[in-house]
Amino acid sequence: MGIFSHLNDDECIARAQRGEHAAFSELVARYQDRIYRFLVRLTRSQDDALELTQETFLSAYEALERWRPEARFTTWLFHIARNQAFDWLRRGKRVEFVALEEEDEISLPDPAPTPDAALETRQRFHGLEHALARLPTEHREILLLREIEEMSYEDIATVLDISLGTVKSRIARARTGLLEKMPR
Amino acid sequence: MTCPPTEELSAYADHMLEPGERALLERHLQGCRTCQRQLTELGALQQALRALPSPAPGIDLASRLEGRLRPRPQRRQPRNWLGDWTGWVPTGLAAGMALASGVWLGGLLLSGAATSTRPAAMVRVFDPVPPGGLCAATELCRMTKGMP
Repeated sequence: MGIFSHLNDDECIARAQRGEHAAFSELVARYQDRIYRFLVRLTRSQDDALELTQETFLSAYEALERWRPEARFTTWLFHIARNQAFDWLRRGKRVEFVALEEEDEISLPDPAPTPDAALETRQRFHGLEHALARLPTEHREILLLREIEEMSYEDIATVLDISLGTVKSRIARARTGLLEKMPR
Repeated sequence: MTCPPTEELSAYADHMLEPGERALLERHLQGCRTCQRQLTELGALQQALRALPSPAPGIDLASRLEGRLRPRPQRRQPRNWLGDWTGWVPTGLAAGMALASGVWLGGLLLSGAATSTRPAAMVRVFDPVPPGGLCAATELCRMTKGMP
C-alpha cells in the first residue's frame, strides 16, 4: 500500500503536478493493470502492450500540466493509451491479426472446479478472445471499453473523441460482428 | 410487425434508451420472439466478455518508471489579485513598523540632542586657562570666547 493510497485521483494528480513522483507512482499502480489489459487486446502482443503501457504513463506525466480537474483521469489516460496504440499500428509495427500467444493462454487463471469444466471454460475463453481479436480495431476497442472497462457511453465518447450517436451505433455493430465470429 | 434496429436492442441492453423508447421497445419485445432471442444473445455476450480473465503485466511499472520521470519544474501559482494583496500584508506591516520605529528613534535622538546641549561650564573645563586664571596667550583666549 503506497503512502498516497488514501488520496483520490485528483489529489494525487495535484501532488504529482507539484513534482511528487510518489503521487504519480500511486496513479500508475492504480491503473497499470487496466491500461495493460486494454492495450494487450488491442495490440495482441504482451511485449508491445507493456511498452505502450509505459509510454502511456510517461506521456501522461509529461502532459500532467495540461490536465484539468474537469476531465476524469481514467478517460484521459485511456485516451492517451488508445492514441499510443493507434500511432503504433499506423507506424506499421503490427497491422495484421496475430493469434493469442501461448504464454497468454497459460497465464489465464482457471476458475472452474473440475478438469473437464476447466477445459471447457478455457476453450470458451479462448474462442471469445480469438473472435475478439478478429474484429476490426475500431470495433474491438469500443467493446473493450464498454464490456471490459464498463465505461459509460459518455466516457467512451470522450476516450474515442466521437459523438454519443456514433458510440451507440458502433457498439451495436461491434456486438453483431462479434456474435458472427463466435464459435457456435 | 417491424422489428427495431439492432442499435436499439443494443442500447436497451445497456439501459441507454430514453423512458419513452424503452417502453415502446418492451411492448414490441412481448410479442417478438426474434428480438427476444437477439436480446438474450446480446446479454450472454456481455456476460461472457465481462467474465474474461484479465491479463496483467505482472510487474511493478511504477518502480520501473521512477527513473524515467523528469523532475517537474515548480509550478507558478495562478495569479490572484486578492492573493497578491494578502501576500503583501505581512511585508507591508513589517515595513510600516520598521519605518515607524525608525521615525520614533530618530525623534528621540533629535529631541535628546536638543535637550542635552552641553552646558557652558562643561566645555570650559577644557579651556587652556582655568577659570579665574590669567591668559598667557591672547590668541588662545580669544578663540575660547566664541565657544559655548
